[in-house]
Amino acid sequence: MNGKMIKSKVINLFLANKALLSLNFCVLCYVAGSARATAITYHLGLFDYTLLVLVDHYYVLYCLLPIMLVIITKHLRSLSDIEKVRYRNTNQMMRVEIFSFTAWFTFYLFSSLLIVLLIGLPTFKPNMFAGNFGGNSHNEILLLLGEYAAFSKIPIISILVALLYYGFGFTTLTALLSLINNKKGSQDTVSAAVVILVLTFIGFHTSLSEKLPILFLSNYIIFHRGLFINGPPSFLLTVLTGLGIILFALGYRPPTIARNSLLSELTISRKMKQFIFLFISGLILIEYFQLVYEGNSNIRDLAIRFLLGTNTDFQSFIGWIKICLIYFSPLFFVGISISKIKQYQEMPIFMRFESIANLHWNILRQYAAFVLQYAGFIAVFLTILFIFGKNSSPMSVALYESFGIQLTIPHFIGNIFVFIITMLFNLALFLMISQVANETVAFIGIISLSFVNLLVPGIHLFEINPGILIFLEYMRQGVDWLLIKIALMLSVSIGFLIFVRRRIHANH
Amino acid sequence: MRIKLNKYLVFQALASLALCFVMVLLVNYSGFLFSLRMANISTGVQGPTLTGYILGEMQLLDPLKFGLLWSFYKAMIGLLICSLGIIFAYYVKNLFLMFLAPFALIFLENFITGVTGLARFSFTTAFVLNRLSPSAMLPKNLLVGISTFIGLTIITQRVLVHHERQND
Repeated sequence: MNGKMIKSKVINLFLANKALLSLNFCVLCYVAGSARATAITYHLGLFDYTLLVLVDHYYVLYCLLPIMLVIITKHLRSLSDIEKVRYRNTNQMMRVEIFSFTAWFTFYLFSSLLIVLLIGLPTFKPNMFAGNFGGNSHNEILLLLGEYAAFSKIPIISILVALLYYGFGFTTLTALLSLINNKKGSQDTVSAAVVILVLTFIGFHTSLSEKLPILFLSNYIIFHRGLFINGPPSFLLTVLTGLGIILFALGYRPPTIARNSLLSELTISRKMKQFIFLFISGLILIEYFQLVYEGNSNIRDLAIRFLLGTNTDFQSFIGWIKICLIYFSPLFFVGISISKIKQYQEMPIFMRFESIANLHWNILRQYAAFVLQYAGFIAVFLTILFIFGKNSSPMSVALYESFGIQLTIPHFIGNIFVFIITMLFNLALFLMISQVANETVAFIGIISLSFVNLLVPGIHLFEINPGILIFLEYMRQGVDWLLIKIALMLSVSIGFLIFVRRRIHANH
Repeated sequence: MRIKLNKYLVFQALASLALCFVMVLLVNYSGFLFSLRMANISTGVQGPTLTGYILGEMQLLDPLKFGLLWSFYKAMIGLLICSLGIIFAYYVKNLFLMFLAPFALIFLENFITGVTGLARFSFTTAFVLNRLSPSAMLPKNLLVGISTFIGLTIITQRVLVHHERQND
């Protein structure tokens, strides 16, 4: 049924936008004609010429994008109430809308490709490999073609990738407008389309699109802007954001964990997890904006600065607060959870467990999973930033000057490993103190210990929130103490786990 | 003697506020007395430079009087923090959150104003004597910090009331 609907919608899209498509056809022919003279001057082959026409960002921004925005908006608004009620649900409706537009747009793209090839065929010879565009040229066209040639020596691949990226960008746009249309109605869809257009122009003419790549549509549709100008990390972020929007509009939602869900809600609820994810993302964003403000665009520095911490030579109160927030935020939520469990300890769910020890063990597993998820997210994210960042970042240089150690990828991963183990140890410590005193005392105690470490640095054995600075100090002094500390932290954490688990099958 | 719950809660809040006020005033002034009369803190050969700070001359020439004034001011700020604590105590059932939320909020506020370069408007700046340079320690800046904190307290109260009504 969907196939037939999509087919009829594709035909309707062609028929309903005849005038706009004719206009677009005329402009494309004009662009192809203009590029012909340039291509003859530079002795380009047929596929280089085709690539030159198809990746012309002025044509895309000033002609294709406005026309597509009108077509998409019309396409979404054309749904009558009678048609809407025929769909099984809103998700199916949005899926049909998005798939039909994508199918139509694929036809459109290949028609454009055919037109340009037909215009170029009488003049240019087909070429398998890209020409040599000269590394030192200051000509914009040659530079652009040179970048595509560096990406792939075969221009047909570059053409296909550029077309695929157009498809991705416009599908993202359709998905976004479809979501707005579904939630807010057609009037807001038109307003959103105008805002997107204005933002795209702002992004194209300013450096904002490089600093905040996910906000500007030009990065989603023009391949060379997305990848060559913004760089691989921004490109990855843009593609992931686009895919996220498309999947969300298609009705995909992250799977919910049904098992032990009631216990999860009573320990670390989904809302808490979302909150802490937003919180940590906010911290990363603040750090990123600080870097941008300082004119440093190297994302390796974002990873280093985020986990920098303090040491004897660098005693910063704000740095200490930041590292405390990173290390102790999960403990804050664990504390809330312990308090909540005490408050509702007579709930029937708690009585379903074999024994108190069994209940404690299950709760502990929830906490450990939460802390590991949190630490894992930070670890993966920062490691990616570090790997994709440039080698000679200002922070790496500063650290090398201070410690005489080059912070390489293995060093950084080692630091991340220490971070994860320390997070687990902090959890064990927090739970142990909570059992002896209470969770508030435990939290204040841990913060106080960390504060004492800030005031009296150098006692590394008691560091419960070490940053990169402490890690490098360990490396400078020799790794023996670090290994002893890791062994101690692991033995305390594992010992605590064994202690809690030992009586889970006891009958009381 | 039985009294109405509302009246009891108001008395409880007023008693907490009064106690907090007196405690902060006494603790701070004891600090002043200790450092001026007993500790004999060395201020270097030329003495401290307090030019440009709030009541800088009074800090230097009549520290006891300044100490009383500043302790009174700090007690007022303590009163504000206490009111935030009371609001959490009245509306939040989770003990851990109730105890630590005011602390966490001030911690976060200090961090956010610090990293955004707005430390002069921070509530912590209003609380700590001569924390920043004289150009930042202006009465209007301290007032902005205090007003922001009062705003935050009011918003917190409204949010908690709304949350409670929704859950009832």
